[in-house]
Order: sequence, then C-alpha cells, then structure tokens
Amino acid sequence: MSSIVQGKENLFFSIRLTTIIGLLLLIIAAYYCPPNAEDLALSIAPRNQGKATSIINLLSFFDSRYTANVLHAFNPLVWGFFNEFYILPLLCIASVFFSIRFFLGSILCKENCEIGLWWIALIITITYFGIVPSLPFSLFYMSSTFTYTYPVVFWLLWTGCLLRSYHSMGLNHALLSISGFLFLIFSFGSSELFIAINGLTLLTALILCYPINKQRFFIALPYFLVALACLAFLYFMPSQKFTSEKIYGDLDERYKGSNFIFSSITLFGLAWVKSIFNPFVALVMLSFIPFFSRLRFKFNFLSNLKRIEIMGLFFLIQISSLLITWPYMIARGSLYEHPVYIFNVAIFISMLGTFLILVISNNYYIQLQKNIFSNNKFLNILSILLPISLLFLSPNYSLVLSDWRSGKLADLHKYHQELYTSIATIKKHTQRPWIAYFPQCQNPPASIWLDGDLLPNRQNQDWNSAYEVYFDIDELRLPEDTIFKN
Amino acid sequence: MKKENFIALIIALFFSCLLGLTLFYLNNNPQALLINTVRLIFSDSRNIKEHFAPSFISQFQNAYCSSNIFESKPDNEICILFQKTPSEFMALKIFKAYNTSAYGWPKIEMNQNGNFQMIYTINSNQNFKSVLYGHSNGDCLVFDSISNVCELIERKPNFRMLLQES
Repeated sequence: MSSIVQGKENLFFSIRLTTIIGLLLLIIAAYYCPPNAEDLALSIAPRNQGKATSIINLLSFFDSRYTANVLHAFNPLVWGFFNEFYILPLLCIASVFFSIRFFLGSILCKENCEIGLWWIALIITITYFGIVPSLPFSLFYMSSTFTYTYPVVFWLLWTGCLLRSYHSMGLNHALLSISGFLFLIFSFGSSELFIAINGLTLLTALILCYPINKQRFFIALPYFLVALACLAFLYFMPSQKFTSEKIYGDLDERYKGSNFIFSSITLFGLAWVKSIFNPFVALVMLSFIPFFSRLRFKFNFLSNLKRIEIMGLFFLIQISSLLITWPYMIARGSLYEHPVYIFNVAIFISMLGTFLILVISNNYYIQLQKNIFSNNKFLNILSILLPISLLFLSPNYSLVLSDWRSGKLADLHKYHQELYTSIATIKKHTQRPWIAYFPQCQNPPASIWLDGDLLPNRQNQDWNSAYEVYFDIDELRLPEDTIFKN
Repeated sequence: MKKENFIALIIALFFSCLLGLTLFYLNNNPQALLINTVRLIFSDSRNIKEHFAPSFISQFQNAYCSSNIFESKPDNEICILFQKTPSEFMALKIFKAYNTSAYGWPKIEMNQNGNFQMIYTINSNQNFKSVLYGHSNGDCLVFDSISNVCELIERKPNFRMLLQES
C-alpha cells in the first residue's frame, strides 16, 4: 500500500514538474516576442488621438468587438513600452490560468481535492497552450488586440459568477451578479466567436433550471436579459453592418460548391485530431485519474448522470465547440482562407469539456482505476512519460523548444532590438528625413511569429507606415527594396 | 422571486440601459451619421429622406461638391474634404480610409462651412509622405502644401500615375 502512496506522490511531483517546464517555455517565448506591425498600428490612434476618440472611431467604423477595442487602447505600446511587449503574453497566460481556477472553484469542491484546484487549473492552462492549433495567435502574434484568447477568459468568469450565485445570498449575491453581468458583456464584445457559446450556455442554464429549481431560473434570467442587450448592441452598431454586408459579399458566393457548415466541420475535425487526439493530452488525462476519485461536484446531479446522459453531454460540448466558429465563418471567413486561429477557442471548450466529462464519469471506471493504478510500476512509468511528452510530443512546446535551441527566438528578438536602436540613433544624430533600414529575419520562429509583415518595395505599405508613424520616422526601408533612387 | 434575484434583475436592466445609451451615441455621432449616409446612398437612395433631415442631406451633398478639397491647418492636422459626387467608388474609398489603421482611424467631422472633413493627426510635414503612401491608390485626394511631393512622385512611379489620373 505504501508503494502505491509513493507512486501517487511521484506522479504528483511529475505533474508539477511538467507544469513548471511548460510555464517556463511559455515565459521564454514571451520574453523573445516582439510586437508586429499591426500591434504598432493599433496603438497609434489611442496614443495620438486619445483613447476615447480611438475607441469611438473603432466602434463606429471598424468592428463591433467593443471589449477588444477598449482593451487595446490600454496596451503597453500606447505608452511607448515596446521593449516590454512580453507583458501582454504573460498577462494572457495569467488571465487564462486565474479564470480556469475561478471556474473550477465554481463547480468542484476543493475540500477533498488531493491535488489542489490551483494545480489542476495550471495543468489545464499548460495543456491548452501546448495543443492549441495556433500558438502565435493565441498568445504572441497581435496579442495587443485581445481577441483570440480573451473570450475564453470572460466566458469562464461570467459562467463562474453565475454558478457561484446559486449558492450565495445578500451582498455576496449582488456583487457576484454585477461581476457576472460585466464579464458577460465583456465576453460578447471580445469576439464574435463567443456569441454562440454564450447563448448556448445561458439557454442551457435556463432550460435545465426551470423544471428543477425555479430560484436558479430567476438567478439566470437577468443574465439572459443582459445577453439580449449585448446582441442588440452588436447588431445595431454602425461598424457591424458596414463590415459584414459591404465588404465580404454574400455567403453563397464565398462558399461556392460547398457551405460553411461542411467547412467548419472539416476544419474543426482536423483541429480536434491534431490537438485533442494527442499523446500529451492522453497522458495528462491519465495522470489525473488517480486523483479523480475524491473530486466532488458542487452540483449533485452531475455526479449522478447516467452513461447515456454523459455521452449526450460530451457530444453537446463538442457541438457547442463547433458552433463557436460559425459566427466568424458567416461574417467573413471563406474556404480560401484557413482561419486556424478561430479553432483556438473551440479547442479550449472541447478540451475543458473532455476533462470535466472524465471527472463526471469517474464512477464508471472505479474498478479500472483500482486495477491499473494500484500498480506502482505503472504510476512510475506515467510519471516519467508525462514531462517527456510535453517536451517532445505536444505540438507547441516541442516547437518552442526547437526554436529556442536553434536560436531562432533570439534572432527575431535581436533583429527587432537592432531596429529600435537604429531608429533611436538616427533620430538622435541625424537631420530629417529619418530613414531606417529593417533587415527581415529570414527564418522566423514559427512558435511565436507568422510571415508576411513587411514585404520588399512597400508591397504591404500599411505595415511600413505602421512602423513609420509609431516611431515617428519618415521611411522604413528593407535592404532588398529597389524602388528608391537613394 | 427572492429579493436578491429582484435586485439582480434591476442591475441587469441598468446595464442594458447603459448599453442602449452607448449604442444611441455611437449611431448618432457625426462619424456614424456620415457612414450611415454613405451606406444608405448605395443601398437604397430612397431611404435617405426617411432617415435624415433635409438640411443634413444638403450639407452632405455640398461636401462632395466642395471646390476646396484640401486645407492645411497649423496645428499638425491634415483636413481632407470630399470633392466627388457620391459613387460606389467613393464609398469604397471612404471605407478603405477607415481601415487604414496605420495612421490611426481618422476623425470625421463637419467643419464650420458645413463640409465634412477627415482629419489625420500627424507629427510634422515630413510625415505627409506616410499619409500619401497609404492613399496612393486614391484618385480623389490632392495635397497642395507638400514641399517634397515632386521628389516623392519621382521615386514612386505608381503614385505618379494615380496623381495624373486625378
């Protein structure tokens, strides 16, 4: 028996070690991550025109992601902290981690949890960033836009507030309600991707509560009213009409010979196989099973679901994850684009749902747990395999590790640092016109960077201008430009 | 319904009203009015009179017929007045201007003469070049106070061609 206890302790140590390795790799990648041209471009208006004006203009003309539009008026680049850009990915990691912990604390009892909800939240965070279809879009590339990961954060927070409201009274209830409404409003405004999941979550809460517990129905009802107001806000905002109808054309024209439903199922299936169907995820899930036996839900009905209901819940979660992608595809996606990043949040919901299903169905594999996890050797092998799988089998950490070891991360960082130094020198020691040269990193690290920012001969001239206006120089040239006489 | 739930309902209504007021403001500020006008003109011109007062429409039309298409202001702002008769091209042009994020989204407002103007905030005359690059595919904007525009045209064949068209 004591060898089993030792085996579980080894496994717990392995989980902690794996988590810390993953976190360190993300911190290293964040340190080397520079802002791209669009990050700079988005920071110019709030800096030059004022935050309120830039937010109003974005809401009037650009898009209706009101939360994202407000947040990126307050990113470090607006205050000139381009060397401290690593703050944004780190903030994103921290936000995801704390929101998962808050959500887990809303549905799971922490008293009997051997491994601790904080560690569970951390390993879910680390697992997610290890398998997310596009790590650059989820954390690094254009992270000042607050668009591709933050909807998850706000969804977890408002859902957590709603669930906690069921067990609260008085002032605590009022504070949870206010926070929950605010997070729900923020969630709708982060990205159109979460319109469907917010709506489905609320409808599920209302429909489930009405026949069982009327008081809980009345707790969820105000959230529904706020959601309706958010939907009206999104639909009637001037920018929404202008972007979706005039620029992207009819849906039929964009999905010739097919339709967006088929496209979304195909792409989601591919993302699911690549991300969830991964040995690293399997090992993480397997490692948690010995600790599941004492995990208890705050909602008893979840612990007493029948097999068929658990299966139904699993498919409902997967279908909800798929639905997340539809608003984007209807509004602007096409077969000709491959919007990998819209599957980031879908995969998150899918992964978290799969984890919770594993906990819910705990009662059905107790015997299996006893047979397999009473074997100390098995626990020790699992303990060894877990950190190895993070480093070599998870698609994103293996890429970060490879980019770090090959020096690609440091190279990209160096190219940008040299540009900043060059601009500072030119502006200090020469007269106008201030012309800076920016050699491009030929082999950028795929873990944090995407190609296509700046092209020779100002082919992407908006991005040249982004650097020029942000750094107040007259011209940004690439060494391979041929259009200039001097 | 418990007292707590009733209070939560009131709070939810309060937040909904705040969203409504924000929406009202966004749809009625000068920028949004202009964009809505442009959108209505090209979707169904018959709708215009139903949505906007006659004085507003006439001011908007005057803006497109203005002979003074460019003003340079001393306080580091460029004002560009619209000149052309509204057309689908113009709608696209305006939209592209708004989407050109590198300069910040330009403010649109009505000036003292009743004309609409897009305003770019810039740091110095030298940065006119950046603005020009961004709109080198537009043929309705002309700049008259750039000292080095000739040099720019010489270096940018593409831009020269478009200026000749205008």
